Amino acid sequence: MLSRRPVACCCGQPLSRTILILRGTLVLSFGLFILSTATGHAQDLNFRNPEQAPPSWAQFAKLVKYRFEEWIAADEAVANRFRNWVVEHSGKENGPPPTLVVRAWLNPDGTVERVAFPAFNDAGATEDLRTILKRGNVGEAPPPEMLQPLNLRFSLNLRKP
Amino acid sequence: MGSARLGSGQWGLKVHHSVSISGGAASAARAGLLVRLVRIACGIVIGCALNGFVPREAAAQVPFVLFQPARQMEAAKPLARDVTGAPAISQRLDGTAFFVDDLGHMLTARHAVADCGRIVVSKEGRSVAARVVALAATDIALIKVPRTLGLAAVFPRASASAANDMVFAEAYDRLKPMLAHGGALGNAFVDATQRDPEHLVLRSNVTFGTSGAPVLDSRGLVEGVVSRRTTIDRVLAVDAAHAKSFLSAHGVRFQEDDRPQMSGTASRAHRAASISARVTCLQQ
Repeated sequence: MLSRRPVACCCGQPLSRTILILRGTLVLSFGLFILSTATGHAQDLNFRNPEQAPPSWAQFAKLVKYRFEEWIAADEAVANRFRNWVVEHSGKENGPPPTLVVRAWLNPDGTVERVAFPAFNDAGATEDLRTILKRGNVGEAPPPEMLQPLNLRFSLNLRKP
Repeated sequence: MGSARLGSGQWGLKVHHSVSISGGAASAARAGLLVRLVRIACGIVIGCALNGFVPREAAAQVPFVLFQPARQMEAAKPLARDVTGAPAISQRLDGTAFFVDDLGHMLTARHAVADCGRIVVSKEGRSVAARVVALAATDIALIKVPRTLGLAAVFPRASASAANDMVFAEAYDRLKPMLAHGGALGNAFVDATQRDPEHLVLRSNVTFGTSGAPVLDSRGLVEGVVSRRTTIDRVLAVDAAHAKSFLSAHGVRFQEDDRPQMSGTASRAHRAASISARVTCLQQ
C-alpha cells in the first residue's frame, strides 16, 4: 500500500527468544505521499522510494528497522504482552494484519517522536505497540535532509519455536 | 584497604601543603617559582616531543627527554586490553569487533580472539557467546554470534583514503562517553609518509581496547580494521581490500558502496557505536 515499487532491501533475521520467534521483513520508503484516485497509483509528493533515496537514508532506515525489531523482541513486560497477543490472535478475525505499515518520525537526537500505524481491534495491543516503538533512541541522528516520516512495512510472522 | 590508603595519602598531601605555607611568604614564593619553572620546562619538552622535535639543549638539561625517544621507538603493541584479575580468574582480553552482515558475522583483530577459551561479545547491556569462524594470515579474524546485535558495516568498493584524510577509530568501550559529548567526526588521520602494502597507517592516539575496531572514513565506510600501535602516535590497520578479500574467501556477503553512508555532518562515533561491540577473550 505504501510502497508501489517495493524493494525488500532488509530481510530481517529471526530474533530468538525463549517463547517466540519473530520474523520480520521490511519494505521502506521515505516521506509523505498521496494516492491518486484516478489512476490508483502513488503520486510522488515529497516521497522517495529506496532506489531514489541516498544510501545514507537507507542505512538510517535499516538502523530504525533493527531497533524496532529489537524493541518488539525485548524480554520485558510490554513487549512480552504484545507478542503473546499476536500469537494468540494471529489468523483470527480480530487478530493482527499479516503486514504492518509503520510510519515513524524521528527527532534530531535519535528518539522516536511519533509513530502511526493502523489500529488493531484490541486497543490495548495498539497502545502496547505504540509504547514499544517509542521507547528508545535508535542511536544515531536522522540525516538532516531525509524526508520524514519513514515508512516501514513489517511482515510479522510470530510462531512458536 | 583501598579507601584507607587513599585516606592516608590525602592527609599526607594536606600536611605537606600546610608546612609550605607556615614556612613564610618568601619561601613559599621561591617554591612556587621553582614549581613554575619546572612546569614550563616540562611543557616545552613534552610539546616538542609531541611535534617530533626535541632541542638538543633541552634534551641535555631535562631528564624527562631521555624517556621520550624510548617511548617513540617502543615495539609494536597489539591494542587489545589485557585485564588480568586475581590468579583464580582467567586472563581476560578486551578488544572491539564490528558487524559485517545481518547474520551475526563480525570482523575483529586476530590477536584479540586467538587462543581464547571463550569469546563473549557485549553490546548495549547484552552479552552473547561468539565463536571463531576463521583467522586470517594478517591480523584480522572472523567471528560469529547467533544473531546480529547491530547495524552491518559498509565497505568501499575502492579505497579512496588519501594522506591526511580524517578518519575515526575507537575502542567500543570509549564510545559511550564520546557520544555523551555529542560524538565526533574524526579522531585520526591517514599517514602517507609510511608505506605498508597491506596496512592503513594512521596518526592516532588510540590505545588498549581498540584492536579490531573499524576505521571509518568521511563517508562512513570501513577503510580498515585496527591492528596494533607501532609508535606512540602511529597505528596500523589492516586495509579494507584485505578485509574484503578475507570475508569473500569465507562466504560472507558484505555490503559495498562508494557513496556516503552518512550525512557529512553526522557523527562517525555514533555510526561506530551502531556497528561495533566489545569482544572479550577469556583465556584459561
